[in-house]
Amino acid sequence: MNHKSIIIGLIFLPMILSLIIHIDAVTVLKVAKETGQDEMAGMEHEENTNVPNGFSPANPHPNASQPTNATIQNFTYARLKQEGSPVLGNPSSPITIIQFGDFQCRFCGRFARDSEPQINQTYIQTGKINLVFKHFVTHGPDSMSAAMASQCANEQGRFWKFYELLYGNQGEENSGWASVVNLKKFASRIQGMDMTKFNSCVDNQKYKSIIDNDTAFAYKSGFQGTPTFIVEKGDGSNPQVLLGAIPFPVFQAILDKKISGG
Amino acid sequence: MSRENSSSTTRKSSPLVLPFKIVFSKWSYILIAFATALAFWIVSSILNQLLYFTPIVYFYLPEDAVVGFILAIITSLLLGIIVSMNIFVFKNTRTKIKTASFFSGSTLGLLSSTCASCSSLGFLIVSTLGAAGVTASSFLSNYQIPLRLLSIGLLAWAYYSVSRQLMNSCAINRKRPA
Repeated sequence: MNHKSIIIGLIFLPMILSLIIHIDAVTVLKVAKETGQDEMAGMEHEENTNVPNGFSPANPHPNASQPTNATIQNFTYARLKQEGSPVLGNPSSPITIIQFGDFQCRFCGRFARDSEPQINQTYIQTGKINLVFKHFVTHGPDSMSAAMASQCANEQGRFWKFYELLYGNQGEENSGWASVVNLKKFASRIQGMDMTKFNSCVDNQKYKSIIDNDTAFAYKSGFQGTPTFIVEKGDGSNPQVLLGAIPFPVFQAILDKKISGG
Repeated sequence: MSRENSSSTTRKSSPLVLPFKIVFSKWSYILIAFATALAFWIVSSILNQLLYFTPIVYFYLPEDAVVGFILAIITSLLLGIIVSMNIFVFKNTRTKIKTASFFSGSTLGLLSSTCASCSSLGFLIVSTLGAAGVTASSFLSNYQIPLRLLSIGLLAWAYYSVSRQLMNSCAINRKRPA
């Protein structure tokens, strides 16, 4: 074998390997999507319409620089729902995932488009886990508008539709795709949305305090990026913090271990 | 290969191809290039949240990451080649290595591997620079592909530069009296 062919082989080897891995990954995703989406077709996201008048910060010591593990453990599903966080799934599920996200975050979008539908189909619809969304606004002013608008959608029980719509139509950061005007246009595409109520809610920044409290908690918790997840037992115990657009198979390994008591 | 054949090859080969042939005629340099490219590709894939090691080893390529992934492979390969060639220059010639374009290209390649605003890098920029940090972090995220292309351009320049260094040192050596 001459040197030329060895060099060419070594240059193209990573490409070929990557291609094989890519094909494998795409196949896995395709299979999961095919099985998932068909069954999901008739399913509606369960919505939380319970919105409290006030919101108490999850961190009882807002001046504390670092939260204790106990602070994160206070995040029970019931408490989060009462505080106005959008929730999805069976309240008595043994495992809760709390997602801290930003609507302009590309990795959050990747999670929402790729992993969340599969988690929904495999674990949420089967009552094994429930999902809670909390805001971690880090990407600039349009992220704040989007977060507030999503809470307004939650008020009408349409948070998860709004979530899908925003992450499905993500544009470049702070380019105007998530401006107040466009957010209202997105909301108007959701069937049954009372636009007068929604517009008034957005214009009055009704849920700003919820967003501020969620974000402050995330910063104080030392979260290093978006999306960040807390996977914990239903009673808020045994929390595990995860960072990034975790693909479904990785999430599956974590969730299965958690469900089996790990 | 006879001396005549060798000089004929030298004359035929482009000044960009000949140094490549000289360096990668040795196994050790091929291995260095491969290891460097692989290491950079792994780091880049981790930063772009495509490669996971725990709790299972898993690589995936979502639609939004395909272009970036291809550019990361090109960057990794260029980086591996340039590192090998620079080591060759360092070991075999007396010329000083010019690393500005190499370091700027590889740093930019690494910086643009991730969604800056989503990661701790963005958090660091925002906490350090405040409102200007949001703009800077958005810039890094929004112009990820052009920045990666720029990093490839810088690495291509680094390759050109190191090739010229090798050719020039060869020319000088040829002119030296025996």
